[in-house]
Amino acid sequence: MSQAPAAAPSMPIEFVRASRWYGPVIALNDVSTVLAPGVTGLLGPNGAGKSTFLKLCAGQLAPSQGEVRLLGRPAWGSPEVFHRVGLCPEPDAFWESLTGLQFLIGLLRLTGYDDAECGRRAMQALETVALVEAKDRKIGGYSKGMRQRIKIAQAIAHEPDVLLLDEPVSGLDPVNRRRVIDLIKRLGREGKTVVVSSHILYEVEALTRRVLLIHNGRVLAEGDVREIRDLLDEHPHTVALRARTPRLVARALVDQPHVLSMTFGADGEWLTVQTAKPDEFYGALHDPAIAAGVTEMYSPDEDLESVFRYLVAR
Amino acid sequence: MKRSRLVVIAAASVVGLGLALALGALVLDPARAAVGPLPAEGLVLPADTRFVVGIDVQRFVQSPFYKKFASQGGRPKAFSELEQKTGFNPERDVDQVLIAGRPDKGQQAGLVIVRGRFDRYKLSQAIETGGRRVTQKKHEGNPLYIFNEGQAGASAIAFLGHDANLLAMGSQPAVEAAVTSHFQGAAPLKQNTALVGLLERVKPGSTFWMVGDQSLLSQMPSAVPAPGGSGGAQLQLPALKALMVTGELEPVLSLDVTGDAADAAGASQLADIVRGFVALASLQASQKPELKGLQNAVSVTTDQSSVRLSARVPYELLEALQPKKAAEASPVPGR
Amino acid sequence: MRDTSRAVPFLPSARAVFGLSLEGMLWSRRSLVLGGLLAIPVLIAIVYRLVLAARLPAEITGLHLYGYLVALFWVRNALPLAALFYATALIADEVEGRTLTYLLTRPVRRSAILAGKFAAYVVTTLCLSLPAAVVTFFVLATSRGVGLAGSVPDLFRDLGVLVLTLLVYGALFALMGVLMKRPLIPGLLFLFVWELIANLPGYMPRFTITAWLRSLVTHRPAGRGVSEMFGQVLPAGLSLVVLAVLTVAFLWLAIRIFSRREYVLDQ
Repeated sequence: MSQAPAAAPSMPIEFVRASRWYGPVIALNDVSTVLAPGVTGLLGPNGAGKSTFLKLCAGQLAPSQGEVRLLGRPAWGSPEVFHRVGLCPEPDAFWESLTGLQFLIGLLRLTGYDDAECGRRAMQALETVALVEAKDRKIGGYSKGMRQRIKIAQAIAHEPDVLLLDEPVSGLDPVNRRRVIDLIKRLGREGKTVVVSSHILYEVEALTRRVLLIHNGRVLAEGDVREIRDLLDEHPHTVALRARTPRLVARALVDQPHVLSMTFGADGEWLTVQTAKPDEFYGALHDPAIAAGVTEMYSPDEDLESVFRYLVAR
Repeated sequence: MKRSRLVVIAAASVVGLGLALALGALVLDPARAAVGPLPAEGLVLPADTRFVVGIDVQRFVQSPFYKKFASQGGRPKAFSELEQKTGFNPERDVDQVLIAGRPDKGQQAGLVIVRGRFDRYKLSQAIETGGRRVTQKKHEGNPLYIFNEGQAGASAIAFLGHDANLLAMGSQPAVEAAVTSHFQGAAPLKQNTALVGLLERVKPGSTFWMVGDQSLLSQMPSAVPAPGGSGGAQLQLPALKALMVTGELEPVLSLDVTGDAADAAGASQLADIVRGFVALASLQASQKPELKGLQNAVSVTTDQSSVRLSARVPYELLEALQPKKAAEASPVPGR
Repeated sequence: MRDTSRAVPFLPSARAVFGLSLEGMLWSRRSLVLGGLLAIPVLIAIVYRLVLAARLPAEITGLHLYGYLVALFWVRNALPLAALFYATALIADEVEGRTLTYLLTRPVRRSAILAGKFAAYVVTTLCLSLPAAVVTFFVLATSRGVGLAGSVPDLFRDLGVLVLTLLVYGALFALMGVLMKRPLIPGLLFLFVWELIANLPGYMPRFTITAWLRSLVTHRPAGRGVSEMFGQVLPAGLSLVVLAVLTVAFLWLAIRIFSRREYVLDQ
């Protein structure tokens, strides 16, 4: 299952027996794969090699062995390909003293647009991620969700053909989570090559059916997400959410049969829910989340780790 | 980013304004026609001048050096007499003195230009009634007082211009030439490119300064006794092409002497000789605690073919030197 | 029209990096501290004038003090320190802040990134130091016994030397910044140990930067005995050439290393 098909020359992203190691540690081992236009989920627990995979795609790292090609050129040392590539990195890092608009305009200038075009594209990107009102606020004063959205905005502002998104919905509230998922799906439909890295299967499932499973630096599986999904039914899924009044969410969900447990955080803002049916959970969450003012939401990956252990054991 | 631009603009404005002010000061300064420390008026000096000396009299008179000199009765009595007769007090009324000359022509070519504030009428009267054989004639429409006219060493004195702030003194031909140049707006000294080159190397603003070419130095000995040497050992001095001196009297007595040798080797040799003397003096001084500072007062450096001697002597050290000399000179009682 | 088949041309991309970097550099705690340090001579000059105004004896004239401040404070100590703290951090700050990714995933050459950041460093340090130097000059050069017009050439020359100081040390420390993980201690050792060689006799001073720089400061403090004897003054023309060559060489090396290096940002 880990053996990729022969590289097609027209594919936007190609890995040809690519390996990458940091000193004695192998982060990615002999990976051969091609990623076609559309949305591809890059799924794996933390430390699996997803970020290394994306960094190799984004030309931030050179493969220790083999070849990684981006839009037909070597990803490492070909800055010109970034006219057509956007990256949303995982670290929550910014030039904090810049406003959202300045951040976007500054990066668009680096993409070669003139000032007028930079302004136009920046505003368009801000509208897409619903940050127009906060455009003149410093990023240092943004909430976690806003920071995540401005990061996505900088990746899409120059309308790239290839979009590499590392944990793009992490920390987003349900409304914006939905907005970003819709955006990614739309871009996929428009023929862009979108690679979304995540350690949450349900997140990826909401985006695409095509996944690349990575574990311990190897491509464990490539294919339809349903095959993996079926394996997960017996594993409870954990969701942590932060809200102004988490009790409102708890009250709305406590009677749901799929909810296995609920735990309130000591600070009164966090609520951790274990559910047996994530789809039903996310479906039931939408309205109470808005009422309760949910600002952040993430899923710890212990459950996925156990799935991978299960897959590897098979 | 707007505020960054503001900071850059503010910083650039401060620097730009400063530079504009500085340029303005430079352009509007009367010294713009000056050559190094030589004021524009000094350009009337003859083209064949071999050395020029400048003294900022006001700074000189205000210095601790002169004050001490005056308080010890060193002030010339002639100053008081002059003031009584003419109302002219050199300490008060003279700003600057320029002395130019040609050593090979002796007094024949000497010229002194004094800048200050003169009472033309009183000064003219004093000259005319001074008791010396003085004749007055007009030169370029300007009165010229000639002493011992027709004789070999005839000297002259004249005001340069109608406002009474410039006075030229010296040999008759030199004064006449200076008056002519002043009225014609000529600058004969500029033809002496060698001397002008030397003047340009001297930083303006010193209390006193001097530049001279090799003719000034031709009178200097070509050999000196070796420091600490015995049996009359002599050190051959390399020839100097030019000499520049600047000095300050405040806050300490400081002197910078720069000599241009023919080449770097000559400069190095000369520097070594001077260092030898400095080292010897320092060695002797180090045995006397009160003269300990002398060690650090003098230094010698070289820069390609130039040798620079810097001396900075605090007045305390000068005072320490003086009684010592007196004590050494006086006979030891009982001997 | 954008040409997407090649990287954005050097100048526009360096200018864009400059614009992004300047804000972060100017408005930082580092600028606050170093701005204060670089402005100390203004305070010294004001205190000097106040002392003069109170008719207290001044040990040195205004121009002498200005000469000391230029040669000993700015050229020898404060500007090299500012260069050390800014230039070693040109890339290190982006790595530490994990923002380098944004720059490296744009269609720009890495040489333009480093050049833009270096330009931002130069502008930032010039903004902090040149106004202080100009103000100090005017406060001191208008004091008793100093002719303003006669000192103007000194001001122009000094400003040039300050710019050169920032350029050459900045280039050196930019190189150290891309070469080493922790360049501060080696940088300090270079400034305050290695550079002392400038006071030795013979050819050794030519292996320091400060010996070349101080040869361009004409009104260096008057000699102090033995130290002045060894304080070699190198030819001004040669000094200019050497400093220019060093700046270009250091920057070229820094760009070369930065262009080939991978940056694995911790998450």
